Amino acid sequence: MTGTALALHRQLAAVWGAGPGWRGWLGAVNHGVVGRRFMLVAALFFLVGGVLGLLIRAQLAGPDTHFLNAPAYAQVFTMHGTVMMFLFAIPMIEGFTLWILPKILGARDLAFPRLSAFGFWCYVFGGLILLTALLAGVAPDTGWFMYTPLASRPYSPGINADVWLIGVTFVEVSAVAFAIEVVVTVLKVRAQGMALMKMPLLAWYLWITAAMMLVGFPPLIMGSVLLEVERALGLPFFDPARGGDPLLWQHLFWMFGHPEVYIIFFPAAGIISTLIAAYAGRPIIGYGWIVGALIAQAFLSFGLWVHHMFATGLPHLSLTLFSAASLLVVLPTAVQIVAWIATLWAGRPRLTLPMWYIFGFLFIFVTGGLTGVMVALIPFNLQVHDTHFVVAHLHYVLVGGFVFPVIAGLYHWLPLASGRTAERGLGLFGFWLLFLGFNLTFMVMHLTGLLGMPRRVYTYAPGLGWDIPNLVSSMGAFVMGIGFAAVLVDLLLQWRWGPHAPRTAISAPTLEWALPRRPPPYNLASLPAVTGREPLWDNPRLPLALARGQGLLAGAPRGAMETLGVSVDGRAEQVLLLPGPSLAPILAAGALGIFFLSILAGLYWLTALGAVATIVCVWRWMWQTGARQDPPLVEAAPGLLLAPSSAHPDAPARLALWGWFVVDATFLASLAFGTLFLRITTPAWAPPAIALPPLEGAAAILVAALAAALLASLARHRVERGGSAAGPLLGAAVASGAATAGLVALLLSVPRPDLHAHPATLVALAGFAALHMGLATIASAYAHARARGGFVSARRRIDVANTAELQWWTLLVVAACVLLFWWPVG
Amino acid sequence: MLEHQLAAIPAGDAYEHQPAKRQGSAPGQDDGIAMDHPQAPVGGQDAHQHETRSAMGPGFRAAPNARPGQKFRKTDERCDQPHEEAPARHPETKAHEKGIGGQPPEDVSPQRTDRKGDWEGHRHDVQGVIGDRNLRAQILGVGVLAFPVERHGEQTAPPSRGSGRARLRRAAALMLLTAATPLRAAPPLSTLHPAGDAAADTALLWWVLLAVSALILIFVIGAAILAMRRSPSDAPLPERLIFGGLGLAIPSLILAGLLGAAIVLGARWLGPRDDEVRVALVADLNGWTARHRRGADELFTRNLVVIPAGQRIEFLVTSQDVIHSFWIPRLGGKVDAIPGRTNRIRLHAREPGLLLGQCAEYCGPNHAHMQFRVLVTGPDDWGPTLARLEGATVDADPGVFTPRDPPAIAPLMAAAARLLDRLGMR
Repeated sequence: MTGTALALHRQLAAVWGAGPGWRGWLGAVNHGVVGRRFMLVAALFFLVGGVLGLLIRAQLAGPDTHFLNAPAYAQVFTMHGTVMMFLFAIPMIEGFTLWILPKILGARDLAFPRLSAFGFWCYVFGGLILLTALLAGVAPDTGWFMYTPLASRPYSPGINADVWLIGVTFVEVSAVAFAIEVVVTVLKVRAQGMALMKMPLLAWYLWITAAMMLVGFPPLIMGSVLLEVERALGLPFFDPARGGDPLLWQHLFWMFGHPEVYIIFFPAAGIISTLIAAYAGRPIIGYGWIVGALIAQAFLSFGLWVHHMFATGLPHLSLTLFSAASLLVVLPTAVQIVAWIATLWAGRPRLTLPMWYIFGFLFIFVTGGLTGVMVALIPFNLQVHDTHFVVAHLHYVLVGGFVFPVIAGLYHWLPLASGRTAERGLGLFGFWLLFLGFNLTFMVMHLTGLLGMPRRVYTYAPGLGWDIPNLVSSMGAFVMGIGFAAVLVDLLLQWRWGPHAPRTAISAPTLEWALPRRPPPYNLASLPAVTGREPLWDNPRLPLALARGQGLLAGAPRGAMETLGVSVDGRAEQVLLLPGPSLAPILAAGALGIFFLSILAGLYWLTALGAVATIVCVWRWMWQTGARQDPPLVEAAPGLLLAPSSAHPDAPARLALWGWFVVDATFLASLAFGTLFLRITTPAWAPPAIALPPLEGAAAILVAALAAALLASLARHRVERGGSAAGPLLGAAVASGAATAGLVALLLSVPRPDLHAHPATLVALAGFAALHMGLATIASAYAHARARGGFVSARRRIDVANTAELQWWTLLVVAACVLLFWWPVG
Repeated sequence: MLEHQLAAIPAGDAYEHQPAKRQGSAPGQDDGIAMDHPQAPVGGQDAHQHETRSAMGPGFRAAPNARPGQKFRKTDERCDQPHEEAPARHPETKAHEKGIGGQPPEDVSPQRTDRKGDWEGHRHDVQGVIGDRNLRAQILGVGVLAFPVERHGEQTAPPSRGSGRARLRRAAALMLLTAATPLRAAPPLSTLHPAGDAAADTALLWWVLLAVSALILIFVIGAAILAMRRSPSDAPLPERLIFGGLGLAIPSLILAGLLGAAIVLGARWLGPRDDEVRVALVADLNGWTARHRRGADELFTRNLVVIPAGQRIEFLVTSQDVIHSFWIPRLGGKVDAIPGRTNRIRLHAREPGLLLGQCAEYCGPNHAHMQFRVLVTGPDDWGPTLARLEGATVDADPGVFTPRDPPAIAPLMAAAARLLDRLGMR
């Protein structure tokens, strides 16, 4: 298998290269390309958000300022928050993760390259909707938190709120795609021998981030859908006059909104952990402690959302529980800080430019954490909630906990990405401008808040004591702006004109430094087998050996794009066959864009067309996978014969389906929570008497769904024994089609859902179930077509096996919805 | 008695009739003291600006549920008011005849018991009562100038609250204030200048938190700097000790202490109690309607809350449109005004005086202007003062400038709006 490095490179580059011309450009799916594009677009949105932030500070620089009026200011602060959260922070994390994850795991690409490309286009299209609205002066103007009833139709009659709901939901599609991608990639696509506890810490951080995104985003998406339905169709989920409850929106929003903070922080903390070990020149101290702390923090972060709602009049006892939980989060954070300082203490740290940023991070983030403890205490929270104190706190946490580590990471990995060294100089100057400007802006802002200045006021009177602190904050903001410009210029200069980096420029232990500088699309000419957590410190000659093809799956002798699939404990298990450039992702995202834009424009006939187009695009995309003949085993290394993923029962696609089940379960839980919340806690509930359809209807729907699940299972059983699955799958499609029809009839049987929240939730439940059953119908039809097309055999049975599991899952979802539908309401 | 009556009020719709009537009335009629500005001391504002602002005031109230963009148009309508409204809009002539000097409050209240909630019937009495120049000037003045009664928060603290705490607060407050806010008087919305027990407790909590936080920050950053500078040694670190001790045990102890203190404080101000005075507040897009119950009387004020000093007062807060938040920073924490729900918060004012309140939850473009005044009376003056002030309407925000010029980006927004109109997207 050993060849010259150059020959291997030529062989791989021919197979892994992007296609020619604009089709190749639009169809690029390689993780390096998609990751870079994500980061670039996110950086552009950061500039937009930054300019909006400066507009805010310009307006607040003095009392009675003329610069913006109230409606314009409302758009500016709403879009500042929205852009920074949804269009900068999350996509930047996504881009960074997509770019680096296969590199640190010793793989050639992600598990589903086209899925991440699809996510990228969803992000771009959704972001463009919001950006266009901003330029057209109809941007969202009810705050990035979109509280109802202010964001409901009577108080926001314009298109502004719809732009937010639809644009952000479109962008969140990419977040969900990303989450499934990363969860599966970390579990399946690693180097041989890399058991989970031997992964680099950064992979742990990124994996837990993605796992949190699986559960974190669905409540927001569900809330957005319900609110858009209320705005467009008049179903009153949040209208207190018709049995709805504005607090339901707050619960759904913050169930997402609080984990979101940790979703943003974790990747940044992963960068810190990685960089500190690299610059201290020793392994991180307390690897196990950190992993444990992360898992604890991930779970805790889902139990804190109510601390954004301390002033909403909930009982003091429940507030106290959430307050205590909020304080508990300090402990895992403290464990990580102890680990970082202990590693510096025990190592021989070098004060490089990234280390300056790490120190900036430490100061700012610890300060933000301490003010976080303050606002977690109920009496103090009630005083400073919705004042500039909270503005200061959240910027300390997010800028300190995200922007500084990301800049540190950019400088750290710049030599790898560009092949050029990053030197101090302008970078250090930029750091000090950023650090001082930031603290000038936001340290003083704590005082502004304590002096009583509420958030989101577009102007204020003189004589309230706010003039000087605000002026100082505004000056600091512009210093910070200059600092960002300096850093940007520095990064661009070094990217293009920095001195070439030798391979030994950075002594880091993780596998990404085994790649050639300016990594090729295939990353590694042959894949490593690792034994410890610091492979490059264990074996400094590893990069050369891999380049010479002394690892697994050297070169591309079969002309296919291959990477290694492993089990949880790092055993080589299968060979993943990856797809090449494809227009399917951008076409599917475009069709989805038609779907969303037509809702925004109120052209509902086009909405149906967009939905059909999306299904067709995804169908064609899926059709390209798999093989019509049983593929031969692949010799990954001498004597190591592995099955290709298309003929392996534990192919990543199966894990992806289970990832979707987690997402979907959260959707279901959000809807069930909303339904029960309205039924139990709404003060003026009093629903109109509704004659539900007879229980026989429920029985008929469930029987049809059960029949579909049993038939799909029968198909799987037959395939495993070498028989034909087409017949039972057709039966499953017909049965689930019948169940779908029953659910649609159920939906239409609810009288006047616009009169009260109770019939509105019934419509939502029936609609949710019908949507699931309809998708299951399409999945069964697809599997039937695949079976007839010769894509299915006893070895190639992933399509049928997935369909069977999907049918059972759909039965579960439909049963839950039916139960809630018929549950007696007091 | 009072508690039972208030508790029996169904949530949400209880107060709706009152603002609705007010909406229907002509702008000039219920201008109240807001219209009568020449006496109002508006420090630091030139006359022209002042006029612009006061002209805005009635326009606001003419259409409380209008989208805020409409308020500028409403202003012109108001200028066309028929002249018969003039007496109501310039009540000071009558005020001297019918003002508080002329009619003792004790005489006023019996008349009103049988006209409970009848806003129309009261108007002329109200206009007369509000003609009192001193009271009017005081109510309007706060927020622009420090009200004379108000002194530095530290001076109002009774000595019984412990000289050590007071000294600590004074020293720290002095440090911060001399550094950042060259103000002689208390900033009217400052949480650091408490005028009530709840706010004082919270302010004390803040100084303790600040001290603890500063120590922790210095310790962490100090350790990190030391780690960079110390000469390296290969002695292994006691991993369990540092993670268990510094990572878990010590933070847990600090947090437990803070949580305990917070729970005690929170229970004092949020827990259920029976308070003698209750004030019900209904927020709307343009301000606050307060209903004070005194015996069988319902006494309404607009953007003005009247409470007695030295007593715990329970506020029942709701909204008739979007979510607002009721907050008097110098008295204590806030509570959201949520349509369909009634929330409670208990506050306490130490001394008579005039305080400022502010909406704290973003409620649309009028949010910045949604302030209200809190008149704290002596314990015995509450009833009489309230009777004098019945029906009083204070301009939501006489202290805040209303822009005369269109904003810098207005042409761009107008062009975009035309484009959207042409595309049929609005």
